[in-house]
Amino acid sequence: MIEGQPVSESVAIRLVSAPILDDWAMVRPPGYAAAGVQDLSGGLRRWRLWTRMALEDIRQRYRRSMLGPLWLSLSMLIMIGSMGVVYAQIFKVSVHNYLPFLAYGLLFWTLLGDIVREGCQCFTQYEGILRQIKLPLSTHVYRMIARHFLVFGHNLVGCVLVAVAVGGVPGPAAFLAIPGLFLWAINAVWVTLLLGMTSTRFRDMPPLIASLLQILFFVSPIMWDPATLNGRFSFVTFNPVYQFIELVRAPLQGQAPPLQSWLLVGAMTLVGWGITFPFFARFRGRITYWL
Amino acid sequence: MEARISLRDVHVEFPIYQGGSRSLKKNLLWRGTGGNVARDARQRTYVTALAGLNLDITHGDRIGLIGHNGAGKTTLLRVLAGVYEPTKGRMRVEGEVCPLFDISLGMELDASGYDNILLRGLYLGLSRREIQDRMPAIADYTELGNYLDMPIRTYSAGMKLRLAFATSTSVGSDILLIDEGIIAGDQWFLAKARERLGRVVDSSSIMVLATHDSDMLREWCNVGVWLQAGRLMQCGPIDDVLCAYEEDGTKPRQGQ
Repeated sequence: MIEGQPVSESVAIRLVSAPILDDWAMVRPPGYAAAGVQDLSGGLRRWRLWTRMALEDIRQRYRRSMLGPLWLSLSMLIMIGSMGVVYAQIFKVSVHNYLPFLAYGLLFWTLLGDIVREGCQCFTQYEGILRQIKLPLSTHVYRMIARHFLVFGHNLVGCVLVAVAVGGVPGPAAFLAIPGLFLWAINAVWVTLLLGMTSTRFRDMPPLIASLLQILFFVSPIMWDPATLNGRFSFVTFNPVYQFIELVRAPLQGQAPPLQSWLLVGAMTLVGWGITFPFFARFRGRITYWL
Repeated sequence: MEARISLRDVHVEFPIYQGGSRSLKKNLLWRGTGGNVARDARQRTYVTALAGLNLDITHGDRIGLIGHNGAGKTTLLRVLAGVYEPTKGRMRVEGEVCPLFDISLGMELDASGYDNILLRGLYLGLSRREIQDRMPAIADYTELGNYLDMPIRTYSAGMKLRLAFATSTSVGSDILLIDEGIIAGDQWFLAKARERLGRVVDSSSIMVLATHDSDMLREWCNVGVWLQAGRLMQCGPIDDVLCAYEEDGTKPRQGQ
């Protein structure tokens, strides 16, 4: 019963006007770096929540449509089919070689684009949750990335089917794409964190990123094969988008990824986390204030 | 271990970004030109929501937060929930916290009632298994019957509230934080909620409730915490604090 409960004795000492230095509340909280690591690992431990939410996100989006999530892959396949025929003619290459190249290129470009574009909304999108309940902030990041990879899995099936249809059956080298995808996931986390944080603070980030992405699409070898450059434009080597895509596209086309892709992607991973982690650790507690 | 909350000199200041301070381009321009161009990039004001709060809450306390709109009640609840980290001062919380601020947490309008119980439970830190175990009891409490199979888009506000309330209060947390908005159900539900909260609060050890309803405060709480402009005005047995608060309300204000 609620009535008749005695008021606890601590009420009397509640009106503390000056902080007491050695009391229970004054125990030193973890430092920035420790709290940052705790957030990232605490989020991982919530995997049941974010995998479920990622599934729910996709179900939500397609609940009322007939083909469901198949729409995702279908629209991409239509794009690959129509672009493949046209550009094979423009570049004067055979459709058999060009179509799988384009399909895998677009497949990974779509994943990359989703990670970058939606990464900007990582915290603003879940404002309602952030304001209500304390979860490790990384939970939302993982949720978003899990969703991207679910969509990717769908698209992958479609693209492999396209490749097989024109005679490009993936060989055993395709397994080399697995460590590559693992690197993608690790990089997706810092990209989402960094973009999510900056876009929460600066609201003009998302359109800025969107226009940047558009430029990146055309300067990266997705529609065109870098081999056609004949070494004239070696700056392509230093295009991180190219190296990320090559790391996973080459295995699916039956080749081991070039060493330079491993090195550059590895370097991007270190540099990206080197920039993002201190930033995240420092401003983690401010993100809800920026909403 | 007993639940316990301590606040020492807790400050919360909200930055209000205006004009160009929300823009990255203007901020860069401002820095790049040594502060001569895009001066509005620096426009920001701070609103103090909590100013130096000291509070100890221990096992068995059912705190009623009292104060005018904008006194800092909701902010305090959110600080206790860990949503806002104090901008200054220290806070320590021992025990599982369950916030009941808004019924919409984790709600997917097109998913069924059962799915939403699961989602909300996951957000509140339960495992799938724990939720399945509690599902019959939760479903029973909501009295929604066959509606639970329907998308909650079809529910009335009161029905959603029942669903959210039933799930949140079945978590079995140590610290229950309630904002008044969520309590606005019908009389029948209020009576039922009161009965359940009575039990939940007995098992969990701390409750903090923010409301303007003095009857509810008298009935549900034993300690009153009166906030004004982010400061602690008075704290003590609920009746005393309510009396002082109501007396203050009838006094003419300075400068008016």
